[in-house]
Parts: sequence; C-alpha cells; structure tokens
Amino acid sequence: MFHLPILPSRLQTVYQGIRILLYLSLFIGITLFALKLFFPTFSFKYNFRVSNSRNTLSAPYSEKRTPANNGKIISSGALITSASVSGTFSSLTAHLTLEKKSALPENFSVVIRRSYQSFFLPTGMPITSFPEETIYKIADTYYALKDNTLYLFVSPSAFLSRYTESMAHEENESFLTAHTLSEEFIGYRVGSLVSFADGVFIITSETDMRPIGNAETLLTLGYRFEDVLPASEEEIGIYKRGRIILLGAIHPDGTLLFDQDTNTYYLIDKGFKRPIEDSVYLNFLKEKQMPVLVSSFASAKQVSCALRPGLLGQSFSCDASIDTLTSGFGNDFILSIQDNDIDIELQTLDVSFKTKQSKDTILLTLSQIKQRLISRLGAL
Amino acid sequence: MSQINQKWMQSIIHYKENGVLTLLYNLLIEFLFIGYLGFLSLLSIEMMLPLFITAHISLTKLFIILFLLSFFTLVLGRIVEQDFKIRLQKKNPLVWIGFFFTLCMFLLSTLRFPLSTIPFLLLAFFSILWLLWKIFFCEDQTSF
Repeated sequence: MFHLPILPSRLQTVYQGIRILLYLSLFIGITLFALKLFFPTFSFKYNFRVSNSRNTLSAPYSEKRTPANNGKIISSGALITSASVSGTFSSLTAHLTLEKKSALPENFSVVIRRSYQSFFLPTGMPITSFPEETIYKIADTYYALKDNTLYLFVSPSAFLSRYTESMAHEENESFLTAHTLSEEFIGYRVGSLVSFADGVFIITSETDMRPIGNAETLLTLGYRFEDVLPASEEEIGIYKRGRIILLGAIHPDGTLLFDQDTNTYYLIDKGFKRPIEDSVYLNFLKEKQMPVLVSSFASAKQVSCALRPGLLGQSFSCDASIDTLTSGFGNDFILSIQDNDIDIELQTLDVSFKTKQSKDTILLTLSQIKQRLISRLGAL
Repeated sequence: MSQINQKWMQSIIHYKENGVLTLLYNLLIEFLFIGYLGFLSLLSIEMMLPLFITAHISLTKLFIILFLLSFFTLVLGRIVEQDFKIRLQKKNPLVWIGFFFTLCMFLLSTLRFPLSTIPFLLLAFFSILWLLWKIFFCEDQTSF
C-alpha cells in the first residue's frame, strides 16, 4: 500500500533486526494486554488524609462499629473496611503506609473474609410476629388506621406487598367520615423491588427508593428479576429517588437473607440482621421474594497475612492466597487490620485482587463478553 | 545559539547522508501503521463493549502519542526528502474491507439518532474524511 525509501545495503541487516525486535515487542505487548483483559487485577485504595469519592474502599470502621476515617487503630483494636469485586481470585496484596508520626508495630496483620456486607451485620432482636396494623378495605381501597388517622395505600399491589387480603376489615364509605384522612400514602413494603420505565428500584424506606445501576448489580446482590414488581407512575411518585445502587452497596432494610447452613432466615433492619422466628410472617415474605442466599460457614472462613515492613520505613505489605474463600455467597471482601501490638495511625491503604488464571476464568470472561454484546445489540 | 544550530544541522546532515535518518523514517512509518491499526481495533472493541478496553488503557493517550509521532515522522520525511504516499488500489481487498468496516462502525454509532439525520451525518463524516485524505495523502499536494 505504501512505498518506503530504499536503504543502503549496510543498513539492511540493522533494519531487519530492528523490525524483528519491533514485531517481537508487539507480540509480547499484545500477550500481556490480553492477559490483563482476561485476568484483570482489581485495585482499591483509601487515603485517610482525604475523604473523597476517589477512595474506592468502603468507609472504615472500628471493631465497635464506630467510624475510623482518621486511620487510627488502638492496640487490640481493628480497622475494618470492605471491597466489592465479582470473580474468582487467587491472591490479594495489601499495602499500607503509616503516618510519619505513627509508631512502627512489631506485628500486625490483615484478615480477609468474604460474604455479603449485610451478613456481617450484628444479629439483632428476633422477629417473633407479623407486623401489626389495623387495616380497612373500603370500596377496593385499603387504609391503615394509626392514631385515629387513616393512611391510604397507594395501590392494592402496595397493600398486598405488606399484608394478606384477609387482614383487611371490610367497611363502608361512612367509615371515612369518622376519621381524619392523612395526605401521606403508604407504599410498598420496604425492601421490595419495583420497576418503572427502564429502571428497577429498591424501596429503601417509607419515603425513599434507590435505582439499581444495572442488571449485573441486581444479580450480583443476590436478587432475582422474577421478584421485581411492575409499578405505575403514581406508585413510584410517592418516593424520593436516592443514590444509584452499584456493586459494593450493602443490602437495604427489608432484604431477606437465608443462611443455608443454619436454616435461618434474616431480615435486614436498621443496621442489624434480625432472625425471623414467626413462621406466618416468614412464609408471607418467602412468597413475595426469594431470599438472598448466604452461608455462615463460608463467611466464617478467613485468610490472614502478616504485614511486613517494606523498603521505605513507614510502608508495610503482604500477600494472601484467597482462593479458599468460597465464592457464590457474596462478593464483598471484608478486610480487618488488627493484632497490632501498639497504637498506630494509617495514612493510605491499597488492596489488589489478582484474578485466578484458569480456564474457568477465561470461560467466565467470554460469557460476560457475550452477555454484554447481546445486551448492547439488543439495546440498539 | 547559532553555533548550537550549526552543530545541530551538521549532525542532521551527517545522519541523513549515512542513511540513519532514512532507517528511522522507515521504522516509524511501519510502527505508525501498526499503531493506528491497533488503535482502530481497540476503538472498535470499545464501541461494542464500553469500558472493556479503557478500564485498562487510555485510548486518548495512545492517540496523542500516535498523533505526535505522526508529526515527527512528517518532519523527518521532509528532512530525508521523502513524500509519504499511499496508493489506494481498488482491486486490493484490504481497501474494501477497510471501507466497509468504517461504514459499519459509523452506522453502529448513529443508530440511536433520528433516521432523518443519518444521511446528513453520513455525508458530513465522509466529506471530512475525504478532505483530510486530500490534505495529508494526496500526491499533488504543494504545501503542508
């Protein structure tokens, strides 16, 4: 296609030699890039001096669940953070630097566990009964009576997401005149998945809902598309839209979990996972939504590595093999920096997950590529 | 300053006469050909699978490097008195593969536009492409 100038004969050998080197470098470069594409390394970091969106590890907290954004760890304490990443990994590398003023510990380590963040929440008071409410049905419309005020359910679907038909007492129109009618509506049960237009939302409170970022996030969080209820503009209109739920988000209130090892069902509620002991309520919830599957055995498995000082005085790092941490029960890796013999203060924390180099990983990546191509071409 | 310029010119003439600059020119042309081909391949993959490539490599930085090297090669070509010519041969299947590939990528990127605007976009795109071709690669160009 194009003509190059002819070189003197004494430079021909040099030219051919450099060309061979060029193509060899190209081949090596393509191979390394392909390895990076099929076996990517995922990196996360936290800078304790600057709390901003560039920090990709979750906000750290202490073993007492108090915020630890300042990076301080007392001896016999712990600093806990998490990273969410989907896939099968062979190893994790943790690298941290201490503040210049921080003392240097003789020993400390990183302990890693894997599950859903919500399953690591403390266990709360058990749910021993179906939530009580006085419900009335007046001409196909449902109302809840609280403090002599009637609250209207935004739709029959919203009512049925919370209660069974038999729980509503039939009344006539005159009942409305005997009570004050509130302007507030009652929507879907907190934790319900609803869809409207092109989006899927989770009802996170009586007044808020959050959109789910994409299909992969919904499935990675353990939800199913079959549990998504189609909603109308009127039903959605009573909620304020919150931040998008992406990979790494903790399950919101109302999410049902099932621990397959202990046969226990939990409901996430205000920072706790509450075991459900009432069979009637449990059966009702199971009809509405498949629980997110968790495993207490898998979440109890842990891997640790002792942090060793690096070349620079205040830096420490370690590598841990994490292929024994079972996948399939959550993609949240909880990292705990602990066992320090003296009080220390962290400046930065970097964590990298190396993908396992295996045929299964290649097949998984190819399958993901195929799914993305199908959804991309389908969207056209 | 003029002494430095003089030494610089003498070095350039020396390397031009012993063929080193021509060698460098040939290698750069070949590197740029592979580079632009690689860039277009990565861009095509990125169009079909957003973030698949750019999560690992910056296509913008790659393009800037190729662009700057292209200008350096042009300057080098002037020094070694070589005009870069591409002769498009209609019988060459690569030319037609390239043309249809460009057309497919263009159509893929315009499918979300209203149907009535696509002919105008097509016309504008290929007009600009033809103009750039005339500026950079036409044989009868008299000045840069």
